[in-house]
Amino acid sequence: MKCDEAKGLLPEYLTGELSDDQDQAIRDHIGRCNSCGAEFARMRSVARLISMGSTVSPPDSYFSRFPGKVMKRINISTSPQRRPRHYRYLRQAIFVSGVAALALVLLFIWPNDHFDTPGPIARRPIPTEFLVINGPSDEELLSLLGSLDLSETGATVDLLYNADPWEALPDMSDEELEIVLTEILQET
Amino acid sequence: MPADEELLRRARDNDTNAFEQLVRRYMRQVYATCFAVVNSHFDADDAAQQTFIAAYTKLSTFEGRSSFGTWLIRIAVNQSRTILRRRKSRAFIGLVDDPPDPRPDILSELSARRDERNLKEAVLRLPEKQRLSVVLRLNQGLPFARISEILSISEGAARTNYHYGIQKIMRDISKAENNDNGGN
Repeated sequence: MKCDEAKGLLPEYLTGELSDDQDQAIRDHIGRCNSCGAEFARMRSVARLISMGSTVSPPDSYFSRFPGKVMKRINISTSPQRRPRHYRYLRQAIFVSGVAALALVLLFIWPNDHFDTPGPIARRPIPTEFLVINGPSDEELLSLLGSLDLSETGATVDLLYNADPWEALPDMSDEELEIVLTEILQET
Repeated sequence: MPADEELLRRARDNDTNAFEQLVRRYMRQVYATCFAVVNSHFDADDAAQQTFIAAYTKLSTFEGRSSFGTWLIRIAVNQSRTILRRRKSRAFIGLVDDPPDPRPDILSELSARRDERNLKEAVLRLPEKQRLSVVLRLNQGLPFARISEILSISEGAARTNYHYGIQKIMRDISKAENNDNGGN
């Protein structure tokens, strides 16, 4: 084997891509030829540096922070606002049914003389437009419910007062949630 | 250590801890790939993060026809090319300059020795496919079959790119060493 041919095969020899015959021929050649032997030694040290990542890798401190940065961005992008659409509808449905329950309580359970003086609801009307269109934020929900007298409304309010149904109803299937909703509506 | 498949199954069930383990497992490969395309720590960092976010949101579309690593590296290449295109278009329009690299000397600090610096520069001077073929083969130990999948080229082309990439690196290093010696 001549030097030009040997040098042309060094990249493949380096990574073990040659046939057994070619591999042996190169090995014999660089054992005899100082120039090709030196060239291969240099190529091997270059490959070692690249394999160690010294050409492209930042320090370990960068990689120790990297997973946290990625997971933070993932958690933001999968926050409740971006949960599957049927969950958002369900959350809205729970809230709207709760509001309906409160209205029923006020109409049929609350003593009539309570309407003689302005009650909490009269002082603070429920902004139904934002409830129906987008649903309230947790803060809005808590603020709204916190301003009302909820003592008469039982389980519905307990559920709503948790503000986040996904914490109130952990690990429930859609069917189970439907049953809970049905029970809530029957209670009201 | 759980296999990729196990972690993927758990990640699909919204187990973010499982996905974080996958991030830890592949972040160095993904970063090296991104850097090999964009040549900047700032952009490589962005592309690497985008790669994992895209992978997480597309987990349901991963069918296992390639390994998860191959799929991830392919996303990394695509994300990096997107960032590169954006960067070039910004430079062309001239409205917004490239954001300054917040740690411009990060690699220089690591590559204090002259031969490493020369090597780094030689790698970065390679055309993209040659650079990726060399980095994916030597830095990540991927076989040419997988490199060809990632780069959407034939296996022979991946081998050729690797071959010419290494040879060009060796020539450039020799030239740089001659210049350094001539300057002393």
